[in-house]
Amino acid sequence: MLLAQVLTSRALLRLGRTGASLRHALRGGGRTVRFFYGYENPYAYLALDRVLALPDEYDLRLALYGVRAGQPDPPADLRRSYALSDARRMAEIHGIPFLATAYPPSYIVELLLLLGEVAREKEAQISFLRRSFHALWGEGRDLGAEGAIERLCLASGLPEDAPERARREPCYLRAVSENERLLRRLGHWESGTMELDGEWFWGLDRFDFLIEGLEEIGLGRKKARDES
Amino acid sequence: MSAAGSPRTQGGGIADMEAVRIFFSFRSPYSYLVAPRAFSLSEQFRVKLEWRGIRPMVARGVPLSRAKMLYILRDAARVARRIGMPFGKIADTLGEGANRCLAVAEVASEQGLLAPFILRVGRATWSEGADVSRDSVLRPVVEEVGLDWATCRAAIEGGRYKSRIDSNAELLSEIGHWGVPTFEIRGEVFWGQDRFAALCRHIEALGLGK
Repeated sequence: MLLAQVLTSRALLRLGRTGASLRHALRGGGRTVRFFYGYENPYAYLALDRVLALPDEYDLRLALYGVRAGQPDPPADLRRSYALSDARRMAEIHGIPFLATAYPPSYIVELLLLLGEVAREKEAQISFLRRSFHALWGEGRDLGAEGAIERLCLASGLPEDAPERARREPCYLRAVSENERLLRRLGHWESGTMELDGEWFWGLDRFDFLIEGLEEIGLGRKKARDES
Repeated sequence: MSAAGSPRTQGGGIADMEAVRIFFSFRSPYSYLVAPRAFSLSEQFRVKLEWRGIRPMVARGVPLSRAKMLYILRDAARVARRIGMPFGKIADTLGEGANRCLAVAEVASEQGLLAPFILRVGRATWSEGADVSRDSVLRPVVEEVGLDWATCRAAIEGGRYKSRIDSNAELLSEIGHWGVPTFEIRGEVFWGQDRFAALCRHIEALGLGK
């Protein structure tokens, strides 16, 4: 019971945030929001645009990590089926395009993750993530069709041979594995999650809590601060 | 009404009203957090709530990792703060506590006292640390909402409601789900307290608004 009280304590959460603020002030570095994405997760897509817009609104660094899905808890098929229909419903409520009718095949999911690492190297990660997630979930495009991935790469600022490189060079798979280790080390297990100073925010449903956390540690909105 | 298999409804006592099923577990913090809103559905809509008490997830063989459990506790705490519900002094109901609450809920339902019982026992276990596996703790909770302790004790000991509670889990499976809290109306399923607004929106779209 004591453990639960400690874990759920508001005072402790505030103390943790204050401690993190002090650490950041002493180190002189800015705040980082981590976002763990996975292409097989429609909830990661739903959160994506709002997450990618965070650095435009707040003084923070956004770190993006592609991860493969772990084995879903049983009953895995029911969970996947429900998530697809629920995500479609939530997309409609939030005004987010959602034309996908099925999960993407695993070879596409893996290739996109590797390409995300190529894009990081080319400083085109945000553009690539936005385009690839929208193509997959928003437009329900078949990225397995001939030339589809290559066109996506070109449009995102990646070279045409990026898919070939991503498949061939082992450093990209190692990078994805490293992302997964980081996710587990920080205490989470699923994609579509945001992390700030050790606190987790799972999916679009928790985006408002992330904003509350950012404002509580004094990261005012850029626009509001510029006007003051 | 027979004890086994029959649904219990709450909400205005109008038999032909559309039913919204709620699959609820006493060990789920999100079930606790959505309960006040669930029981007020019939104030906003021409629907009645159909009670379906469910045994805890781990007791039904659905795994729960330590990382996930810790996340859920912290997350439920911030949701509770946002919606202004007490939370944090928790007594785990896994096992006897949940079983006893499930039996008493059936009695409460028969007596038209389901909502007061669920809300009171939820507050007791999630914010007052009340160990309801003990008679000395459960009895005052039960009596506070106007239930007869002897009847509740007999329900707990007699196993009269076991088949109904088992059938609730089977029904949850039949509608293609596994978790709680889950709401279902006309085959549309809404999982989690986060989906309560979507449920209301759907009920409105069905033309069941007041």
